[in-house]
Amino acid sequence: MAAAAANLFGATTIVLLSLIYSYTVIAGAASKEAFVKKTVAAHDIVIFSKSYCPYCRRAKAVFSELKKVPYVVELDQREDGSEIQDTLSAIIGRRTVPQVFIHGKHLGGSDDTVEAYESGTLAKTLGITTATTNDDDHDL
Amino acid sequence: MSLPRKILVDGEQDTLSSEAVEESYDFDLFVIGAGSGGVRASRAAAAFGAKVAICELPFHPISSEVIGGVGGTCVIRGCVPKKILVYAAQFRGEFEDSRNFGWELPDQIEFNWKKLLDNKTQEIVRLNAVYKKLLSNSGVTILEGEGKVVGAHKAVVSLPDGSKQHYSTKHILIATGSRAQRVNIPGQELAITSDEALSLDELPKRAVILGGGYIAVEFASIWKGMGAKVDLVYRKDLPLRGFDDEMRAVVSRNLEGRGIKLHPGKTLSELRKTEEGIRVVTDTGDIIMADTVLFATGRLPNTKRLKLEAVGVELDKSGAIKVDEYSRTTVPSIWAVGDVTNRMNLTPVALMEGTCFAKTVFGGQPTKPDYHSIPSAVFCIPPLSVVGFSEEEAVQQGKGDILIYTSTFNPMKNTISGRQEKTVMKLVVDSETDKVLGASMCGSDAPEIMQGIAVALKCGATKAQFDGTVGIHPSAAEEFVTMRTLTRRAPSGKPKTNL
Repeated sequence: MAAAAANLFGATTIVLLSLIYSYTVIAGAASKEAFVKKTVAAHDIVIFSKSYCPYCRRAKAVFSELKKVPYVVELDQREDGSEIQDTLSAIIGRRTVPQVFIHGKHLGGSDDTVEAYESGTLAKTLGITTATTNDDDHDL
Repeated sequence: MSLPRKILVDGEQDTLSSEAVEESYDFDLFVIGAGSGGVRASRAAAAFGAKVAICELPFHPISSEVIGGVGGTCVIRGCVPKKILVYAAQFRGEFEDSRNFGWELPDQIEFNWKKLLDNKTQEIVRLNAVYKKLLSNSGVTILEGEGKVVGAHKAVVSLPDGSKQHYSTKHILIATGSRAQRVNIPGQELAITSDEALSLDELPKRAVILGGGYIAVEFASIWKGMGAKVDLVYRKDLPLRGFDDEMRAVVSRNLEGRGIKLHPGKTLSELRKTEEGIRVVTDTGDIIMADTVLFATGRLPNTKRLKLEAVGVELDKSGAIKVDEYSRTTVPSIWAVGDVTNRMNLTPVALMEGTCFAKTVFGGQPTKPDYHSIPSAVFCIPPLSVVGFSEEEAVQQGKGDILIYTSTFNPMKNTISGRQEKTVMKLVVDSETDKVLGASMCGSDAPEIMQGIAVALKCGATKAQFDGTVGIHPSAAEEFVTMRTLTRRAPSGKPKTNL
């Protein structure tokens, strides 16, 4: 009888611990998702980056060219950087850095940022007026 | 009566008259080490009429100081088994990508490591037998045991039964290769090297890899592809030191994109066995739990037990044998090829050195190995392949400005599969001569494509000739002949990239 009670207690403990662990993981993930969404909503330009990453440097350089200061989250310099990266991956389907957000919308990675800059759409999105010429306004 | 063999070496005078009789030796050539370089040199020398013996340690997939096997590192515990594992690991991505191409696969696809391991071992056992047959068919005498040089013309073989056999020989070739090195930290005995990694009883669920070279990134891709959680720890900001910086960044991004956790600018300081696994501590205090820790921090030449200094053969500070342009050591009758010389440690280079050695010593055609435009590949997933100069090398060595052409694109397959992984290609061109100095590619099939590009570079192809070549459509390879727009111009002597 005592053995059965002990077994039941043991099993209950395991189930409870599993539930607590699952809840902690889910809660942790939820808090990271909230952090990402809150950060993206609070700033015009957000770059999720890693300080050593050449592609991140390239994305930052684009905004320097446009004389804009992005809000940068350096994932390698945060304790929870790895979890934030996992959360970003779940939200946007990409694990790589940088990931750039403009006015709350996901622009993409380094290549997407450079492409948007070179095509002029990035300046347009940010409301920057650029001088235009009609040099290209003819058939090739 | 058999005529004496006339063996001329570059610089030697033909002082043998038809009546002169050479000093009598058991062999014309005695080779220590039956890996890629040793086997090629033996067979080529035998084809020139030399009497050849080759000595190799008994076979086992995991090497030690007294175990090896005909075929050497590449065949038994290197390139071949590694590539088999890479093929296996690539299927994970293929399964993921197949769904958008209409394939209905179950969510849970099982991977059987034991089955792969058995098939891999079966294949290297087969290849070991093939190499033995190639040698015996060439008329080469195979001796099993540990070979040592005891004089300018003397070798001894310690047989597995403990007995010793002494041989006299006109020439000795050392082709003992290299061995994975271990890192001297507390708990280092808990770690493995690439030898053991290719023959693990169980696939690790959590792996920590120390190193940023090609072996490290290849195993990161292999284990990740097989479902493990992988942490890659390396000292520099980017992996693959010595490769083109731009391509290093591409590989880094791809590794991360495939879910490998990167720890740049770090090393390991301690390993400790616990109930939960191996507790790995980095020099910055990070703690990672692992089932397997792999040291992939480079390889050292296999010269320690040869005691070569005793016979006058000079070694460099890493233990590599010093050789001249013809692979000759500081003792005129002793030669060395392959990883043991630490020149360019690639299987095809050892093959080239072995062939050149045989031509020089037994073919009457003094031939120097040509290290210009040698292609190579890193079999990470997706792979990187390069030939010729990196941008940094070209900028340092170029006389005029260096023109950089790059193409970054979403491969056609990925547009359907939805995989977020770009292919990157690059050409490095001399602005004065229009010669293509280097090419690199990171993406599917890069090594297969780069072999053809290597032929073009060996022939001295110009950018205009690349541009004048019609592409194969639709293919990734055609990008190499359609890169019309200059990405950037780098003034020589001043490295510059857009990263």
